[in-house]
Amino acid sequence: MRRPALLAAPFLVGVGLLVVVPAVAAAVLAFTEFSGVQPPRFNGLDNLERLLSDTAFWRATGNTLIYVAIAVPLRLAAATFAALALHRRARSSIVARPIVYLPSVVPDAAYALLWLWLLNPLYGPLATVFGASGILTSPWGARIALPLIAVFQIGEAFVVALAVRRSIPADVYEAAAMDGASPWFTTTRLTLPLMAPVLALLALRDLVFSLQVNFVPALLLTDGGPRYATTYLPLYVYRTAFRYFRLGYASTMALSMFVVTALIVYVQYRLFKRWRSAA
Amino acid sequence: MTVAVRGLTKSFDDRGGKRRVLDAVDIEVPDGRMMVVVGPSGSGKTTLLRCIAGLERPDEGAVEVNGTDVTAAAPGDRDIAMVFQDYALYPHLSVRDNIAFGLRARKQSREDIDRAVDAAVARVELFIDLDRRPRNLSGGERQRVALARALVRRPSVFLLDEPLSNLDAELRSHTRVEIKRLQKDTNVTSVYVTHDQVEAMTMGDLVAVLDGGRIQQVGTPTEIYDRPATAFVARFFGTPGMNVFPAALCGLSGESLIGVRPESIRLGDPGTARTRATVDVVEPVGADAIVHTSLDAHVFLVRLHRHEAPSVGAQVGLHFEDADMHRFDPANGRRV
Repeated sequence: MRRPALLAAPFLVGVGLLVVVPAVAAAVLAFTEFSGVQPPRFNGLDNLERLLSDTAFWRATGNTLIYVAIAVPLRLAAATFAALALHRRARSSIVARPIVYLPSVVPDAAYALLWLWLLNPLYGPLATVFGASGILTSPWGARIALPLIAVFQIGEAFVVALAVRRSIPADVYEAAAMDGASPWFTTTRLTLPLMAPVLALLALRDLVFSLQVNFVPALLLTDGGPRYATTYLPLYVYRTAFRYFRLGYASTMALSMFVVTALIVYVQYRLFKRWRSAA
Repeated sequence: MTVAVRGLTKSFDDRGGKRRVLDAVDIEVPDGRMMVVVGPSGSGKTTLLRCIAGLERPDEGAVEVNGTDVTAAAPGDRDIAMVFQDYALYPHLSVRDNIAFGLRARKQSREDIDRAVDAAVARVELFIDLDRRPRNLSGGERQRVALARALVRRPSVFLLDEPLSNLDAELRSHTRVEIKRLQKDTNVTSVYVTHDQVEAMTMGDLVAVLDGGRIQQVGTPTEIYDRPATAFVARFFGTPGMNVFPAALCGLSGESLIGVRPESIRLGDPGTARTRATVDVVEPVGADAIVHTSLDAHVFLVRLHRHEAPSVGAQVGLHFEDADMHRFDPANGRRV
């Protein structure tokens, strides 16, 4: 075996065992009935047929789209805003940068439990101080609260946006200053357009990320409620597989989620491409 | 419009200490004239330009445009346009949008902007597709876009920071003439920064020589060449610069430094010569040759017609007239 391949082997074996094999297995299981107790039984497109008429699945899809529609733009905006506010080499920004990054290094479960305390309708500080006890107890309160919680975990996007902002040469800003451009004009006509290609990439990445990352808060904060308002696709797949032991059907859902994700990414990619060539 | 700088002083932090880049600089550019600020790298010329532009804030002193103190004004409020060394074009915008940027920032009407852009483009003879991006342009084309962007606002003052340094030699001499013509046609008061003394001589109505953050001399190119105010100016101008040496070397009494231009020296009979030297190198430069001669550790450069050049190793006598001698104080380098 050649040396580079040898060096990459531990990683490749890990990816193979933990990602590729389960993914292929899931793709196969998607066309079976499998409870985990008896061997899988091939049932063709029965699972897919059931999926299309499964109202719980469609509701989970809708919930997921709401989550993504709120989380992705806000996360991207927050990361960009933080990068623009903190790109200068000032002492205050050197202190503030790690603070922006910090929530991203908190383990997801700990982060969810923290918010469970903050938002607890009976004794949580946010609920008691602001009288907002309905945040997690009403369906729309929960639908909006969960993506908002994710807006604080933007460390990676923030770092990328910061690097892009700092890569813009200073003389362009000096030219704009000579041209008499106001800060707002400079930001909207210079900074954001120059950052746009990378911001578009960040949006794509965050979309894929946000489709999946809602699992932990939905499980720990709201348990998919109230009234299934936060039963997102990952949570629904998980329950179908490991609470109701319909592993074959869960695989069908996972596979369809993969297809939907790929489609959304493709459409977004095409839109960006068209927009870039038009710009 | 006149531009004046009065007592301008600026220091930068440098490894814990302060380094003074500009030291009480005074210059005044009369209406419609081009002043070239010239000096070696590190002399503070770019900092001076940036202070006039408002991109740097001076520690002391004032910048005046037409008699109005603009020292505290924002760069965009000074009615000054600048051409940057690396052009600083907006990479994501088309040529047209690059030129129009400043007018859009000032919220002018679409018709006015179109008209002004077309006029500026015609003025710098930028005959290219205006929808192209800067990255697809040659150095010369970018240069013209930068000029058009500065012109389009009809500023009172034009600042140019080494605008030719990124062009190849042929384009440089061509663009030099064009910038000069442009400045004469528009009659906009201009400050032009360069490290190249030839550029300073050919472009400037007035030349300000800067060294170590201090003005050495301000004058017309002829004055600077004929009557250099300091030994530094004497050495800096000319191709090559003036020979400056102790008086004793040519048998004169006194402590002063003597300066003689290489083109004022003739080679001749060593017997009657002011001084004798050995030929080390002969450098041909077209019709002329530059002869490097030395006496002890001192080098004299002589500029001659190619056919008059002696052979290497020859002992030659250096002749020059009294009228061609400049005297400088050895203590401070000033003309005496």
